[in-house]
Amino acid sequence: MKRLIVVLAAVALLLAWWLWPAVRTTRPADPLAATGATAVDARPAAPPASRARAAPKDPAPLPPHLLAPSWLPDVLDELLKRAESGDVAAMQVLGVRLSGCEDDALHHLRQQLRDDEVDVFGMRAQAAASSAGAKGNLQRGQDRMRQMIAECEGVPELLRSSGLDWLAKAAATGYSQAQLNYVRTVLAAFRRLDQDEAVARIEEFRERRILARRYLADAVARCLPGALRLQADGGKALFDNRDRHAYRLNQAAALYAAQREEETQVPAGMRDDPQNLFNYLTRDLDEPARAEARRRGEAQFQACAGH
Amino acid sequence: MTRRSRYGWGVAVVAVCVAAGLLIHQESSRAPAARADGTPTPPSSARSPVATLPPAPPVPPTSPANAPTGHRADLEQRAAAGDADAAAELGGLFVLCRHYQARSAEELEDDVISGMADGEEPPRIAGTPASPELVTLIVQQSQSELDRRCSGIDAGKLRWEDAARAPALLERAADAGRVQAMLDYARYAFADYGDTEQLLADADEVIRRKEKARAFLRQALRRGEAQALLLLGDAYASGPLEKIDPARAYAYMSAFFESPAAQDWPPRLREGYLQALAQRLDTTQIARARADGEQIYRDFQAGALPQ
Repeated sequence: MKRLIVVLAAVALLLAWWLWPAVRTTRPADPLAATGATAVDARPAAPPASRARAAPKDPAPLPPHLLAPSWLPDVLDELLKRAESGDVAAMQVLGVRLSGCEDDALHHLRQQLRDDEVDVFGMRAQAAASSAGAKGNLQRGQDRMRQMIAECEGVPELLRSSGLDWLAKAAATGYSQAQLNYVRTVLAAFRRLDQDEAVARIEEFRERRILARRYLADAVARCLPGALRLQADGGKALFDNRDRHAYRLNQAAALYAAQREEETQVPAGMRDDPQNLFNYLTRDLDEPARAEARRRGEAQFQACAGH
Repeated sequence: MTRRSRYGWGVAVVAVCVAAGLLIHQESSRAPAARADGTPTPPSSARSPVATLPPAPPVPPTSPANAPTGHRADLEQRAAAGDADAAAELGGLFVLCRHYQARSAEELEDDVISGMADGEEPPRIAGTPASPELVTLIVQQSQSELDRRCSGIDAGKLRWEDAARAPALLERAADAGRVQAMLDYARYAFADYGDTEQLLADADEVIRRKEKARAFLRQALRRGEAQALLLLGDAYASGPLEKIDPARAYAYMSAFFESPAAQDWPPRLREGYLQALAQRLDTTQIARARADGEQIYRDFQAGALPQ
């Protein structure tokens, strides 16, 4: 019996020795655990305790000829071949480039072009008075839209809707750039839909939102460039809105954090008046709630300051 | 500037669903439905056992004499007291009549032509833009029914906030067994959403309403309401409650055209609508869809849900 107790004690000591350093040094496996956000209860990511977490190693970059502005139909086969063989960078580039070729994206692009042409026609009488610069900008915009349409039309129809899936695949490997692009692309794709389209595809996007929340929370915890701004822009769609007060407060905190970051990056004359935006977003909050939003936003900003 | 064309054609899209008395609950339009055991299904005005609210006094018909304010105030009061009939009428009125205008057939035709000339995008039927003639016929067909339901209503006094109350009113009335509310809910369950980001933020609720709207349509069908055939046809043709399926749309629409409720549809409109759907089908698929439509109508007459 005594022998058994000694053996058990030794096993316990060994376990403690084995576990203790891991507890102190290993990141939580679930990134959400570190950020305070969960897929169900997505609050703005809580600032990391001391410093941003290290990102997993990013994949080697692709050869330049595969990146924009290369003509997508010309490089599609090579991108696909690389992506299918597990090249994460190729998955990411393919995902981003194809996401603009979804049916609804093309449809809206064509409509936008048509609208612009109608507007140009309507403005023709004023054309002489409008500046050459404005006309040039309009023309360049239209040329760009025509180019995007032609590029997508050169992609086989079956592949055009696979952009988000390629991005999801790249993001699932932990590639931070792909994760941020996944969040951006999900938001952009959903915003492009009209109400009927959005209702029709809500089940798909509810699933995508779960991933987007997780990736965004992780990106903020890692202080990835652009993460705070993305959190501010996407909070309306991504934060949990079951508690309306907390939802507004979280949105305000996210905006404040992004604005504080931009104060350090963008010259004053080139950014919107932060106070106006913040006041607008917090118009339904009382002063203590606004102060709380500023405090949380400041904490998020400070946690990433210098990264 | 992006022109939200599909919203611009909102009236026309609504028209697809409201045409031929969809928005008017016509007792005479019901098929002689029967329960599975062969006993006749009571007309929905008999308010069968589904009703959960206390019985309400009959709703007086809307007329210029007592509308808008007096009648509306009365409806508000009764709806607040739990009257499901009042909730159904109020919800329908809020969502349907806000943009109502009395228009002649010629004026409507001019509206359609001007809209297309301005680059507005026509509603899509199974992914194909409807022809100007078809849009005109649809809009004209719906107008007389809107006239009957909305005449005497001061549309200028209806605000977005009113329309936003409609889904809850309609759901309550539909839960209490009011068939017209079931039909209205199927089309306007999301009338209180202003932008697509809110839909994503509320994804769980949107999915709940979507499932409920689909269930209401099938319930209305079992109750012998031919307009449910039309709405199901429209859902398969244009979404968002069902996945777009031109063959199913063709089957349901042709079943609806068999019913007495469709007999005041001009032949050109019926043919035009089916032709629009047929553009996406080959001859074998069309033949099968016709046969399915006949079966659906037989099931409908027998009070059974289509397979």
